[in-house]
Order: sequence, then structure tokens, then C-alpha cells
Amino acid sequence: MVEIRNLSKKYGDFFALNDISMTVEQGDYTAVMGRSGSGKSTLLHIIGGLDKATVGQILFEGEDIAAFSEKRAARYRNQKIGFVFQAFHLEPSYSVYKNMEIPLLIAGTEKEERRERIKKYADKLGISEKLNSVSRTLSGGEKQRAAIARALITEPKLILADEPCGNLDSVNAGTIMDIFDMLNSEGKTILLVTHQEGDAKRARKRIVLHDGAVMNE
Amino acid sequence: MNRKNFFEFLRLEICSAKKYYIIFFLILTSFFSITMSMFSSAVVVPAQYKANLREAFPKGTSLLSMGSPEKTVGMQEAGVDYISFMYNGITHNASLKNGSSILDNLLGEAQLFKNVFNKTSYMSRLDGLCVSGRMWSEDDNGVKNQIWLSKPAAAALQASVGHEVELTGRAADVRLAVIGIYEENAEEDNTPAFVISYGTAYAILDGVGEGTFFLEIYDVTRIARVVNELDKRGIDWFDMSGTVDNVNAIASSETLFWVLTVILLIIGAFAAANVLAMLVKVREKTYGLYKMLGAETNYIMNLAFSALSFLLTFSAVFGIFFSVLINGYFDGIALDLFNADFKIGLVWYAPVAVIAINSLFLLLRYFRTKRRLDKISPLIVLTEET
Ligand SMILES: Nc1ncnc2c1ncn2[C@@H]1O[C@H](COP(=O)(O)OP(=O)(O)OP(=O)(O)O)[C@@H](O)[C@H]1O
Ligand SMILES: [Mg+2]
Repeated sequence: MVEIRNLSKKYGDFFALNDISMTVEQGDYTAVMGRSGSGKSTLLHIIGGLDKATVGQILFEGEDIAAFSEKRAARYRNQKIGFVFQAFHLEPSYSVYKNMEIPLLIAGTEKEERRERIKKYADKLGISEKLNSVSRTLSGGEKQRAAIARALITEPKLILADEPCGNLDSVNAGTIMDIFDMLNSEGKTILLVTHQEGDAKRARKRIVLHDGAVMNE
Repeated sequence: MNRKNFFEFLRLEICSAKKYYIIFFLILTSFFSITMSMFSSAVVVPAQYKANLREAFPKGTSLLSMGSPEKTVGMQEAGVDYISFMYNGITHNASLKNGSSILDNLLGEAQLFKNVFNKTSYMSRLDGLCVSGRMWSEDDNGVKNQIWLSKPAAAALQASVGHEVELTGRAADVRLAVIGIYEENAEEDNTPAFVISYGTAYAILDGVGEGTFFLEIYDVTRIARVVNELDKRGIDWFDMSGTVDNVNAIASSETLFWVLTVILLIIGAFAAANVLAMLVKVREKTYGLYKMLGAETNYIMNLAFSALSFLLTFSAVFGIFFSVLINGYFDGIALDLFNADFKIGLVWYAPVAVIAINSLFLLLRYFRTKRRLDKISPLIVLTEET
């Protein structure tokens, strides 16, 4: 589904990513590991169309996302990618419902359809009770579940998760990891950045970055 | 991207950022109301003062001045309606072109009050034939080169209708056609009058030396302009009514009002234009998030701009409302303090001008703000929370 060819990302003279080539197959659950500063986040951002590669190609279903126009890239992020971050990045003043609604509003989904989808994913992630709560009032675990629900709302194929359990206690982290297992079993492709060996073991594949390069697979 | 849900998204945007929108609303509304009030005051207050002054001088006012007649040429452009020229010792002759000097020595030595422009002037005691007269300016409605004559003079001239009459003065010879013989009931003494053109009058007066002028100004508020022109020409004047200072005070208050209006207008428009930029600045992270979730710059820009347009519209409506209140309040103060019973009100074009200028500034700012929004990376969401 994603094929990365000779991808490099430079900040000045510094290579955050150095000649990376890898593929992600449909349905893969891949853990991305590596020391701090090894380029894990950078890789995820580039795959997700949030950042541009300096050199190289990233083919998503055969199309080079590096060549996307702003419009295309926006559509791609909206439709194909679900982002999950360590710091959740919900809009703090919006309710969970509204946070989940944003990608659908951008996509132009009808009101009824929006309501159904929000209900469906809120149920799925166990946050139905919290839909009308302002998201800054949620607990860390609830915030992350809301964030995952938002990531899933446009039913993207690829989930990019950057240390989703980094800010959570072990109980909540366990819940979140269970959710990723479930999503993968339902066919979602997942790329998960983690520092936890235990979490990485749940993934089916793993890549390790070292100074911006892939060490082994 | 998708227009379908635009207004729902707009509602979400406005509701969620209501804190900012309320602050912006308050700022804009204050500017709108103060500017509109000031604008209206600049229009209405001096006008009211002028109207009051006109009421106090229903017949206008006059200035006294000395000099030779040519010094006053063109004073009508500075706002003079009527000039009387007083001079003793003019001798003129009027004769028909064909030589028969019917009117020889008609205009004897006398005191001459001459209207150089377009109103009545009197010639007194000229020769018993013509006791009082009227002169009309060249540009007076159609009454050009006409002579109105006293009855005996008219009788004498009856034969000359359609002929050219020659008026000879000490310094000038004037020719004009006798278009008709008219009779006029002069209001004061019921004596007939005559009319000659301004050109004629001036030609007769040309070179006769210095005399005394009464410069009559029917609209008292024009006196400042006239005085200004007299000063420019180096002519001494005496303000018999004492209105010059009044009128000057009104003029300077008017200037002050307008300067304040323009300053407020520009500051307000600047504020309005910058509200858009400020909105994008304070909502940077949220807009970055919208981008991350798939919104384009254009979409977000439309969102911010539409939200702000609503805001501006509301502010304008409230601004109008408040400026009416403010002006009403000042009406009350004027009544209490100065016993001046006037209504400032809101002139309709004050809001129009204020809104137009604000919209213009906003539009100019639009493109810069858009470039700025364009530069916001979706990755901004990931920067440390403050
Ligand atoms: N905008 C930037 N400008 C300059 N250098 C950057 C920028 N973003 C990332 N880097 C550098 O690129 C390298 C890779 O960063 P990245 O965030 O991908 O690391 P990471 O593997 O995600 O680390 P961590 O585990 O701490 O999150 C780091 O050395 C970082 O300092
Ligand atoms: Mg990282």
C-alpha cells in the first residue's frame, strides 16, 4: 500500500532521514522503533503528507504523494490517513462530538451520515458518554480514545500513530494497544511508533531506525 | 474543498472561538459607533451652528472697505453678493449713436451707489430725470446690456429702441444696445429705475479713483471667505456686524471634527483589517489542525473571512445603533450646557462611508493574511503546548 523509495529528509546539512526504502502492505501492523531523534516522527509525517521529503518517492497505492498539490495532499490526509499522537491534539475547546465532526465537515459528509458515524466510532471506542464533553476536561485515556475515534471517522486505510501511549498510564496504554489490535484485525493498516518493547511485540512487523536509516526489518 | 457543510463549519468555528469574536466585536463596535458619531457631528454640528447664525442674520452681513473699484473685481467669487460703491463727483454723458444727444449730461455730478454685481444700486439726484437706478451684472439671468430708464428718459429714448446707445464717461466710452425701455416700481420712493450692465458700470467707474465700499454678503457664513480674499488682496476691511470671529470659530471646529473623523476612520479600518490577521494568528494551532485533518488554505481562509464578515456586519449594525445613542446623548448635553436646541442625528452616509472604508482595508489585508495562513504548517499542531 505504501512504498517508500530512497527517502531522505534534510534539515540544513542534517539528515533526519537518510535513504530509507521500505514497503507497508495492506493490513500490516508495523512498529517503528529507534532512539529519540532517529527520525521516527519525521518518517510518519512524510508518509502522512504533513511534511515534504527532501529526496525520494512515497507511493501510496501507486501515487507519489510527494508530487501532490496542496489540494490533493489535503484530500489525502482527510480521506486516507488517520493520525494519532502522543499529545492527542484534540481541539481543547471543542466537544468530543465536534472534534470528531471536523474531518467529516471538511469532507462534506451529510449531517445524518456524520451523526451516525460519530455514534458508531464513539461506541466503538467507548466514549459515547463523553460526546458532549469539552475535550479539555477529559482524562488522558479518554482523550486518546477520542483522538483515535476522530482518526477513524473518515474511515482511512492507514493509521499513523506516533507514541500514542506515551502520555498514558499502563492501564490506559493497555486499552489503547487493545484498540490497535482490534483495528488491525478489522483490516486497518497501522504504523505505530513506540519505545515500548512490549507494545512493539503486538505488531506483526517492526522496523528500527538509527540516525535516519533503517537498521533491520 | 467541500462547500456543502461550509456554514455548519462556520457555525462551529464562530461558536468555538466566541471569546475572540466577542473581543473583536466589542473593539469594532466601539470604533464604528465613535467614528460614525464623529462623522455625523462633523457634518451636522457646524451646519447647525451656521444655520443658527444665518437665522440671527437673516439679511446677511456687510463689510466696509476702501479703495478703487477695480480692487473689488471678481469679489463675487469669494462670496460677495452686492457691492455698493460710494463716490462723489462723477460726470457722465449718454448719447445716441446717431448723434442726437438726448441724454447729454444726463448723469450729473452726484453721489453714486453702485452695485457692481447683481443687486440693486441707487443713483440719487442725478439730474432730476433719473432719480434712482439699478445696475445688473453681466452674468445676471439674461438681463444683459439693458438700460432701465426713468420715465422722462425713457420717453426721450423711446425712439432709440434697437439702436446703439453710447455712454461716455471721463475714462471710458461704453456702447450698448437699448434692448427695451422698462419701467420699475422702486420699492422705496416709487421712482422708476434704470439698468446698465456690469461691464458698463465698471467702465464708467474705471479710473475714477478711491471710494468706499459696502460688501454685502447675504449668507453670513461666507464672511470668512470674503475676509480671507480681502486680506489676500491687501484691502483693509471693517467687520460691522462682528461675525467674522464667529464664523472662523465654526470653521476651525469643523476642521477639528473632520481631522478626528479621519483619524478614527483610519485607526478603525486598520483595526478591522488587522482583526483578520489577528484571528489567523490566535487561531494558528486550530487552523493547523484543520489542515492536518484535510482542510485547504482556501477553505480555512473563507471560514475566517466569512466569520469576520458576519462580525463586521453585526458590529456595523450595533455601531449605528450606538452612534444614534451617543449623538442623542450629546444633543442632551448641548441643550443643558449651551441651551442649543439641535439634533445631531446620524447622517446616512456616515455608516456607508465607515463601512466602505473598513471593507476596503479588510480586502487589502485579505491577501496578506491568506499568504500567512498558507504558511501555517499542519505540523504546528505538534509544537509544545503553551
Ligand atoms: N523542523 C526541524 N528542524 C530541524 N531539525 C528537525 C526538525 N524536526 C526534526 N528535526 C530533527 O530531526 C531528527 C529526527 O526527529 P524526529 O522527531 O523524527 O525524531 P524521533 O525519532 O521522532 O524522536 P523521538 O523519539 O524523540 O520522538 C531529530 O534530530 C530532530 O532534532
Ligand atoms: Mg517522535
